[in-house]
Amino acid sequence: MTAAIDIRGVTRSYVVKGKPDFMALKGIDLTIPRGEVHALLGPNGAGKTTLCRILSTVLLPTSGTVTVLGHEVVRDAEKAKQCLGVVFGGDRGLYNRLSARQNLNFWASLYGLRRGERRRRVDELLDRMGLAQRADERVQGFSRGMKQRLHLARGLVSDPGVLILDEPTVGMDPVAARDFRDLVRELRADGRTILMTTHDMAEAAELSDRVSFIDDGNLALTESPTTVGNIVSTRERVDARGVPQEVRDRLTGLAGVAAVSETEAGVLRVETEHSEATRQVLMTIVAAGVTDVSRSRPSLEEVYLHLIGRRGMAVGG
Amino acid sequence: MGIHALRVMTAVRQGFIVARTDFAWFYTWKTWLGGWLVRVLCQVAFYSIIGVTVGDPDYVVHVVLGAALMICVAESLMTVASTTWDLNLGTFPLLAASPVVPGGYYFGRSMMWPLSATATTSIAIFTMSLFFDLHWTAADVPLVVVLVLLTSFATYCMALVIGAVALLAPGARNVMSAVVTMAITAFCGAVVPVDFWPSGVGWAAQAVPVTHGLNAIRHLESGADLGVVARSAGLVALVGVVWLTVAMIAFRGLFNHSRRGSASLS
Ligand SMILES: Nc1ncnc2c1ncn2[C@@H]1O[C@H](COP(=O)(O)OP(=O)(O)OP(=O)(O)O)[C@@H](O)[C@H]1O
Ligand SMILES: [Mg+2]
Repeated sequence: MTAAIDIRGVTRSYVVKGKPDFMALKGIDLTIPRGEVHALLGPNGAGKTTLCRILSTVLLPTSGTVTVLGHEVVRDAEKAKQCLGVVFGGDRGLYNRLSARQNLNFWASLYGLRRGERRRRVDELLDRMGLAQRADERVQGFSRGMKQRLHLARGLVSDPGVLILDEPTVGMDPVAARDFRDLVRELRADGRTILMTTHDMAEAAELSDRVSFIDDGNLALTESPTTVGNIVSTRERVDARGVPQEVRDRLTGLAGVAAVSETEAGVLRVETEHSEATRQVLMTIVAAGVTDVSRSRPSLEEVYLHLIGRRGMAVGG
Repeated sequence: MGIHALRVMTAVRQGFIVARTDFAWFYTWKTWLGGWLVRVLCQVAFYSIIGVTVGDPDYVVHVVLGAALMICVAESLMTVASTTWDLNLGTFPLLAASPVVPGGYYFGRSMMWPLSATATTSIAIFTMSLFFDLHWTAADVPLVVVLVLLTSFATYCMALVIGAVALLAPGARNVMSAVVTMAITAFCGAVVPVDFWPSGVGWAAQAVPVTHGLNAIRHLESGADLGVVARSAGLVALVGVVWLTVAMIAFRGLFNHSRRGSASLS
């Protein structure tokens, strides 16, 4: 079976007046199988949006090839477009003077849906996005989060097999963001393939089957969020709160304990070299009457900081 | 062919839905009648009175029809601005990602202008005819409206091409339509006959639909043979179709250009 998205050797340079061409993508290779939710992570200016735009046929790659469900996005753009749903983040990109329903009808028609099918699809999407109550109001008066949902509905209007979501949750309130996560899970259950960019590590960890880190136009790493922690540390770790000092001292002396430290949040963190040591540590802590204890792995955020570095506000390029 | 024609029709229709909504946002019936139409009538009356001061009755007819048809040009040229509106809305990249036929969409997108232009210009012609002594038979009335409609749409097709250029330089769109309006008013026979200008200008004026539209309507008013009127009307249609073809190619090219990454279009 062909992959949902196949990216090979993709580069993209931008022509900037009075300067040498700027390489925003420097040779990306990435294959995403059907049904996968894939998150694209990376700092501002890394090239995530550029890649999304190439995938959605809006921008041509300078070199390399991209196929979407077997259709090459340059040669076969018309076919590729039909199986792609595209959502660019932010609240622009809607006809503000049209109602939500009219906006969806507009795109549904352009994607070739006939009247009956269109009505069914638009009603279903308005319902799914919680917009049915305000479907006939002008989009102009919508809040940012509502526009965002309408964008998602718009992206789904042609019932695409592949969805490209560029920062789909910017500006959503926590409830809307949680609804969005549920929606992504539903879409995944439908068998759709989703490529999304996000700056929210928790969201990426929770939703995606695999994550890719992109930095300065290069793909740094592609991994599953559950095993990606291994690249920061192969050690196991136990976190606990309220551990008395004498217990701490005892933990430090246990065999197989590599480090005992306190995190910024005041949590005692014990790192061990193997699971037998982890068992010993847990038993010691629990025996001392401490119940606020958990095993943890390096978070996606830690991996991100490790890979990208603590660059602060500086933008690469 | 069948499927492509269907896709073009869909694009036109969807573009027109946007056009209709934009127009309804611009004008209510009251503001269109009490604001726009009154302003237009005043402008045509103003030029016509200047014509009267010249003292030649034939010249009055010349100026009344010239000024009225310039309204149709000015209004149809508002297309240049509305063609760029998708850039502000942020819908342009989404259109580029969709299977839309670009030329079809843009043909629908600004259609409110030639339609409104047909109404304002026809009303202006008949209203001014009462005051400045122009004569129409009952049979002329529908013909005038058809000629105005034809001229509005042909001018619209020309405006679409200018609009496509304006998409590349949206900041210059108002200057572009102002310059074009002025040039058409000066060189296409509205107040000064075309042959007053050097022959090069005269040739260029042949590419402007309203040049032939003015001829057609003046022939009709002077009671000329309908064949003569039809010949000018045919030229309006021909020039319009050429502009439309250029517009279709231009919008297709523009979408391809935007894929290469034009800064103004992203
Ligand atoms: N049209 C353009 N012309 C010139 N340079 C561009 C253009 N678009 C993007 N760039 C540059 O390409 C690089 C990648 O931009 P891109 O928008 O893909 O980053 P991103 O990863 O999406 O960032 P963010 O997280 O801020 O959205 C940036 O350095 C940007 O300045
Ligand atoms: Mg981006």
